[in-house]
Parts: sequence; structure tokens; C-alpha cells
Amino acid sequence: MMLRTLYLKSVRDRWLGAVIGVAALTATAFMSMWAYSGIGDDVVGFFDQMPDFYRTSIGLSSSGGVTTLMMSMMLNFLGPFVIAGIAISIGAGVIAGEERTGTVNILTTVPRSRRRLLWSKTMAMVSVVAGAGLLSWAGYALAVVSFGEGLSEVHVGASTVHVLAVSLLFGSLALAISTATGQQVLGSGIAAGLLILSFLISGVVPLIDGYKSWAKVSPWFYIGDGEPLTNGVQWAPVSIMLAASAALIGVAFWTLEGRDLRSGEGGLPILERLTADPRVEKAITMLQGRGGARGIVGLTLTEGRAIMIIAGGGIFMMLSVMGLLFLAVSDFVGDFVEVFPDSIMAIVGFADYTTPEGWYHGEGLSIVAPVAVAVVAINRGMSLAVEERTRRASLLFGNPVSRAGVAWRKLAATMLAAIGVSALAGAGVAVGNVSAGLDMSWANIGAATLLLALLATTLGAVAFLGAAATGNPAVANGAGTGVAILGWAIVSFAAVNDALLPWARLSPFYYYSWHLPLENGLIWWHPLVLAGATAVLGAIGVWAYTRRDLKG
Amino acid sequence: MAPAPIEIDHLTKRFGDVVAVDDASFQIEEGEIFGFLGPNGAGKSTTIRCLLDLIRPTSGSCRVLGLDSRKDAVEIRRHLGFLPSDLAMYPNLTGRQTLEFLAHLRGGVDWAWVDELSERLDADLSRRVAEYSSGNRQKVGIIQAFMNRPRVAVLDEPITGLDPLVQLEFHTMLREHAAAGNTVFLSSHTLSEVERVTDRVAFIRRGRLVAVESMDELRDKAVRRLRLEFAAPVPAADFLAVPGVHEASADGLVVTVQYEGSMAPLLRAATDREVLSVESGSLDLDEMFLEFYRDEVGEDVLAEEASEEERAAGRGSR
Repeated sequence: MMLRTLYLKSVRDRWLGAVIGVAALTATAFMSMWAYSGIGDDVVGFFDQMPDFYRTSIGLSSSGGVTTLMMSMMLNFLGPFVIAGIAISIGAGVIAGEERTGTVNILTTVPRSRRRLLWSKTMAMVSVVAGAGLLSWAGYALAVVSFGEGLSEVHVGASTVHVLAVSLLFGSLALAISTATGQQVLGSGIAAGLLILSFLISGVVPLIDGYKSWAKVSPWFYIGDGEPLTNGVQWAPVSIMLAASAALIGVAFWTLEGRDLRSGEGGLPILERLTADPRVEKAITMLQGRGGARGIVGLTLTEGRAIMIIAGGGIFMMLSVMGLLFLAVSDFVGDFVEVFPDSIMAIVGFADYTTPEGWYHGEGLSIVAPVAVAVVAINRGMSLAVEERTRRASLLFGNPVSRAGVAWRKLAATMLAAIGVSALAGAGVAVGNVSAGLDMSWANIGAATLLLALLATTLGAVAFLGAAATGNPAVANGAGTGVAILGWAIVSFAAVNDALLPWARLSPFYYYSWHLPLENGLIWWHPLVLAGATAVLGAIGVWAYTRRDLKG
Repeated sequence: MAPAPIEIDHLTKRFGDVVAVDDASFQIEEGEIFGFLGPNGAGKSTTIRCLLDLIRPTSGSCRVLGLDSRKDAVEIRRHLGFLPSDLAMYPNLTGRQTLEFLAHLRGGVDWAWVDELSERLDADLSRRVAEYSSGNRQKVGIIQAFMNRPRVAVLDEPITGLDPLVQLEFHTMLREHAAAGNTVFLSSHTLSEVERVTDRVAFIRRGRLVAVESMDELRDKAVRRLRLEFAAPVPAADFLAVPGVHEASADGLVVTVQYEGSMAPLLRAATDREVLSVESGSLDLDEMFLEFYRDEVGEDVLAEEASEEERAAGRGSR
């Protein structure tokens, strides 16, 4: 049933992205082994001091050492995000990607059924995701062995099977939605949103007494369910995940048969139906403004409004409710955190979970808020290169605008998007502060918001520089994301290994969070470093853009 | 004397080891519609992209209205209208929003004129670009290229996707635009379009300019064709020695001869036999184009093309 040529082409199109993702995971595994090895034998003591609940929730072995600590982080946190991200990206593009680019017109002229086309591309998705899982397994093992540790204590393969099962579930969800609707963005957006929600439910719900079992609704929960890293594959949850994936793929087959295929980018049917209502249309027009009349800055913001609304709205909602959530869990969290060793708390910047500032920092501002603002800033930072990739640069430069003028405007739009989403995050903290009566310092909330905004502008400027210097959106995205991940990782590892501190000072995350601004306020020169980095990266980007041949 | 609307001066553009344009020089006059011809990869788009300062010359220069394409890029674009080939636009904007966006960038656009252009091209500006057919997208592209009444319009494959009626209207627009003293630089693969509307044409081949001729000169200098039908078969070789004859071929009773200059020696040679019919015609631009690029196309393809035409001509004369 499978079309070999289409299968191989689909694998060829996707393997490089998967290999880059796994290479990043492997590099992180090496870096974390380096950091944790520096702690020495003390690391075993940390596990003994940890509460059972914590060990269970992230799948740590009570007999764990350096290897277990690294594997837990890779297999229960970073790894699933990367492998599931790869699965979602491929799944959403299986048929809808061909529709978006118009290549479905060529594909469907060959005398082969839609079912065979879908099956071949679905098998390519499964193969690439499975390959990425296997490679990550090898990468983790290599990192462990390279630092003279053994693999006998941990079942890396078993944990990888769990990660793969959950990743395939999210990939299949993206596949089902996008194949049913012909909308690649809809499929990837919903699946990615549910992935993050699933991670949050799995991490936060068990903290609330009486609601622990609710975490089982989250697929992410089954990554660590039954401690596969210690006890081997738990076939019951894995089988359920695989069966659910098969059912979703079945939905894709069923819906593809009965619908018209699209050609080129189209609107979302649900939105189109909504906007047909004049009242809704008026509201949307007010929200969007008149896209055609607002110039390059306005258009760049308009083009990114979906990601800005999702990321900004999401982080605002999350940080708004975290104040009330703190009141609900503050007694439990106080007891819970007391038993944590200092070196583990260093991973969240020694955040004191018994205080609202520590709670907000550890649960909101250390990881989730930077991810939200980075996604927006990097996405808009790369938009200059998107103009070239989509061949719109030649349309733009048919008008009396200078190269530098266009580049500065794109940079300004990137900064506005980054600052806007960061402001929403700050507003979320403020709402949480007021609604729960937490009495956090307004000046410190302002300081944390300012640093978050400047972290975002720095990461956006990195992506902008990549876009301006090369005209390649993938390079821009890779540069921004790479600096964000490596910057975050080096600061996290420096918290447990002082030897890394000089390197951490090269990371924008150091100036963002090292001194816990929500608790301690602003160190005056930290925002200057980030603002200076933004300005220098932006200026180099504009200069590079004016010097080279454009592509589109 | 006013500077030439477009002046390409010893333009060379290299991409690594590849020479995309090699020492090309030509000039376009005011009020002229100038055709730019060449096969894929000949260097047409590279020349246009240098003109627009999207890419920079390795050596040589491009000037528009006396301004340097690199130093005065912004000023040049004030007087320029540009339609890129393979036009791409912002999918989430409507046609009107696209024009508003570009008009806002440009400034000073007369919306009554935009509405008139839309009406002439029968363009629907209310839908999102993502929902447009290629023809409708092209109409928006043409409107944006002309909405500032440019002194110089640079058009790369402008009639792609347009229906014949809209093509006719567009060609009328081009002539009106040139008649008003403006200049049109037209790069096209549609040779019938170039033949119909241009005053002069340039042929570019593997980056080198091989000819720049007015259409009238081209027609005058063109090799012409004579088709002779005899009562009995005549060897083609009998005509090869006649002065001015380039080629001769025989197919049954019909001999086809390509020649230049006077027809008299050829007729004298032919009337030694019993001639049943005579047909005469000039090579059209398609054939001239093939003459320029003969070695790239391959002799066998050209021979097949020629015999196809002869067969078609034979069918037509019966």
C-alpha cells in the first residue's frame, strides 16, 4: 500500500530537521553531564532528601546518581518537547502542507489513491519520529559513557519508548486535525497548545491535594508513569497511547476521503464563518486595524498576530491565575519545598516557593514566560527573511524605501512584539498579585517585566541578525532558538556547578534571572547589558542587510 | 539633454563562478516600449534585479533617469513601477489592502487612478490574496506597478495568467503609457506580446547581449521565406547556389527557401521550371528568436520545428 518513492522523499524532506533537534538534545545531555559531574557524590544525597512525590512525578530513581538526574531531565522534560515537536511539525504537514504549498495538485495527478498518499506520508512521519527517538537514545548513552558513568541503573530504551508513544500521539493529533481541515497551522497550533497544556497539567495538578488522579487525563503523565527509567516499559499506558494514535490516524483517513482538497493558503473555515457575522467582523477589524494602511511595522505585527495572541494571551492567563493557585497550595508547597536540597533549588534560581515571589519565579518566570516571549520575538525577528523566502522582497523594493529603512522597521516590529507579549506577562503577574492579595513589590514586578522584555528583544535581535545576514528563515529561527536553549541551559547548569559561571555570564538569561528580580529588584546594569546587546545585534543586522544581494 | 530612462553600462554580475550577466550595455529611450528577450537563465531577471538594487553589480552600472541604481535606489523607485515575475503578495491582505499598504509605502498615490485601473482590468479587490486565482493576483500586481503613473515601468512576465481580453486591455494601457512620454521595460517569454507592443528588443544569451534592434529593423533584416510548388519534383540543391539564399529544403513537389535581399535571382532560378504556386512571408519573432538561440535549442529540434511549420503551411495553402 505504501508508495516507496513518496515515502522516501518525505523522509528525506524531514530527516535533517529531526537530526538537528536530536543533536541539540545530545549537546544538552553532554552539558548536563558536565554540570552534574561537578557536584560529585553529593548528587546521590539530593535524591535521598527529596520527597517521594517529587521523585515519582519526574520519574527519578531513589538510587539515582548523576546519570539518573541527567536522564530524568532529558527524558521527562526536554526530550519529549523536542521529539513531540518534531512529530507535530511533520504530522501537521502530511497532506495539509502539500495543500498549502500547492504541490498537492501535482501529487494527486499521479494514478494513486489519496489513501496511499496519506499512508506513505504517515509512515514517513512514524519513521522519522522513531529514528529521532533512537538517535536521542544513542546520544544520551554516549553522553553518559563519555563521563565515565554506567548505564546499568537506568532503562533508557524503556523511557524512550514512552516518549515515542506520547510524541506519536501528539503527531497523530496534528495529522488528524490538519488532514481533516486542510489547515496545517490549525493542526500544529492545536497539537502544540495541547502538548504544553498536558505538560502543565502533569506538573501542577499533582500539587493540589485531592486532585492528583486528574493528572492522568494528561498524556504527558504517561511519560513517567510507572517509572520506566527504573522499572522498564509499562506496556499498558504505552499501548493506550499507540491505540489512540492509530485511532487519530484512522480519523485522518476517513476525513480525507470525503473533502475537497485545497490549493494554496486558505482561511480557517471556522474563522471565516465567524467573520461572516458583521458584528464579529467589526470587532476583528478593530483588533487588526486596517492592515493595508499601517506600513511595514503594522503589517509585520498583523502577520504575527496569531502567535502573539496565543502566546501573550496564554502567558497572561497563566500568570493571572497563579496568584490564586499559590493561595491554594501555599501550605503544602511550604512543607514540600523545605525538604529540597539547595542544589536542586538552584535549578530554579534558588526560588523560595514559600513566598509568592519565589512561586511566581519558579513556576512562571523561570521557564514558561521566557518560552512564550522567545517564541514571539524569534518568530517576528525572522520575518525579514520570510519576505525573501516568499519572494515578496522584490514587491517591497519596487517602492521608494531603502534597505536600511525596511530592516529598521522590521526590527522595530520585532521589538514591539517582544515588549507587547512581555507586558502581558507582567500584567498577568500584576493581576495575580492583586487578585490574591500577595503584596509583592510593584517595583520588583516592573523590574522582572522589564528584564523579561529585554530578554525577548535580545533573542528577537539574534533571530533578526540571522535573517538579515542570510535571508534564510531557518538560519534565523535556528540562531534565535539555539541562543535561547543554550543560554537557558548554561545558566541552569551554572546554578549547580560554579565552574560554569563565567560561561553563564555570556547568556542573556544570566542578566534576566540570575539575581531573581521579582524578589530582589533590579541591578541597574543588567537591563543595560541586554538593551546594549539588542542594539548591537540589531545594528549589525541592518548593516549586513544593506550589504548583500537579496534573494526574493 | 535629458538622461536616458534606463542605461545599462558594461553590467557584469557573477554568482561565484557563474557569470549571470557578462558586460551587457544598452540604453532605453523616453516613450519607448523595450522588449527584453532570452531563454530561461539567460540573465534577464538578474539584469532587472540589478536595476532595482535587489542585487549589486560585480562591475559596471545601471542608471535610471540618470540616477545610479545603487546610490540613488530610493529616489529611482519614486519614479519606477515594478512588476516582478512569479508575483508573491501577502496572503492575508485583500487586494485593496495590498494596494493600500504599497501606496502607503510609496506615498502620493491618486486613488481615482487606482480605481480606474481596477475597472479597466476588471480586478476584484475585495477578496484575500490567498483566495485569488493567478490571473487576479497578476491584475493586482499590474495595478500596483502603474498606480503611481511611473516614468519608468519595469515589467517581468506581465501577462502571466491573464485572459486574452485582459491582455488586450493591458497592451492598450502599455501603449497609452508610452505615448504619454513614459518608458516601459518589458521582459517576456511571450514573443507574440513583444512583437505586438514593443518598439525595440534586446536579445540576451548566456548573460551576453547578442542584439539590440528596433522591431522595424528586425523585420527589414529578417530572413524571408519563399515556398514554391512545382509541377515536378525539384532538388533543393538547385537553389543553394542562388545569391542571398541561406537554406533550401524539398518535400515532394514543394521547395522552401530562406533568403535575404532581393527576390529576383531566386524567381529567375525558379521560373526555369514549371511553377504551380508561390507563397512569400517573413519570419516572425518566434523564428528570429530561434535563429538567435539555434545552438542552444539543437539542430534537430529546429529541423523538426521547420518541417512542422512547412506541413502547417502546406495544409493552409490547400
